[in-house]
Amino acid sequence: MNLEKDLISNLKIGDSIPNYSVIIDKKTYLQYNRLTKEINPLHFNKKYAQKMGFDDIVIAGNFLYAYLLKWIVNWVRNINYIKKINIKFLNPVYLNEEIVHSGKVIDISKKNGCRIITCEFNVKKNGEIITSSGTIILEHPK
Amino acid sequence: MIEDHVITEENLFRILQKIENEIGEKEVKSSESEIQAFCEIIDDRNLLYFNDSIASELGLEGKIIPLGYLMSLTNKFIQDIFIKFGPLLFDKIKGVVHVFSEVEYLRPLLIGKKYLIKIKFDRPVKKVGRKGTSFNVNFKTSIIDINGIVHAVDNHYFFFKIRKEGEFKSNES
Repeated sequence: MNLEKDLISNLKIGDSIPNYSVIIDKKTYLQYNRLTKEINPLHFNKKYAQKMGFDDIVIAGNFLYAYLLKWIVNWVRNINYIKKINIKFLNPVYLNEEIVHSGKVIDISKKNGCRIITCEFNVKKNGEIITSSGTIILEHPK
Repeated sequence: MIEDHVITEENLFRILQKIENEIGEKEVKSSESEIQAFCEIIDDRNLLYFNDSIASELGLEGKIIPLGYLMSLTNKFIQDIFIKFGPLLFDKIKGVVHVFSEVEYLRPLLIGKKYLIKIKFDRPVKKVGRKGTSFNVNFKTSIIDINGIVHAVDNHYFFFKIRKEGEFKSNES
């Protein structure tokens, strides 16, 4: 049985993407900063982040994006379907805050023999503050 | 309103165009160990990033760079710009905040294969808000292969928080 084909073929408007929760701790974030050789002090210097108007060092959007894509790839199961992602970073995410990804299918159309599936998502912290939101465009040849 | 900011959008655009002309392209190649480290950090065990035969079952040429790593790749190039051209910018801005990205995946990126990253800037858009004046700047980064085929595009938007006369500089952190 081809699970990814089954999933994507049967998607309907209103279908939800299963929620995905992440907590980024200091050790994990330091590892990422080392790997990517982060230079923006907003992402490692608390004093600087506070001068910029934030409470603490801000987790980089690039890193939050990594978890977003992990979530979507694990859901869709086939990276070939993922065509476009828009993400707006609305509120900062700090270390040790739980963020919850949720989303749903909002539109399905056809173009050039493909099903174009549009999903919207948001990522919340503390159950109510939206830290990022956007859309995901999937393309399924059918 | 009295404009006491140290740079106008027109001057910033001129600086960005100078950067665009001078920076050229950057070669990138993600090694297996780099991707393995990334996957360990985010605890992603997807075999597409580790196993050539699993990747080929999906019609891919080999192990691929995780889609979620793309923005980290483009950001490395953007960081290089800040390192190289910082002196042109850091006395004019308080800081930069990544606010939006629009990422297009056109073709998979393979681990161990050479790509080029190119950048293009749009004209900055001025935003005046409660927290001061910012310029919205799009770092349009494209990842292309050696044959000139585009594999991915990241329209990576930053707010450049503009310094007023007398305010601290981004290199005074």
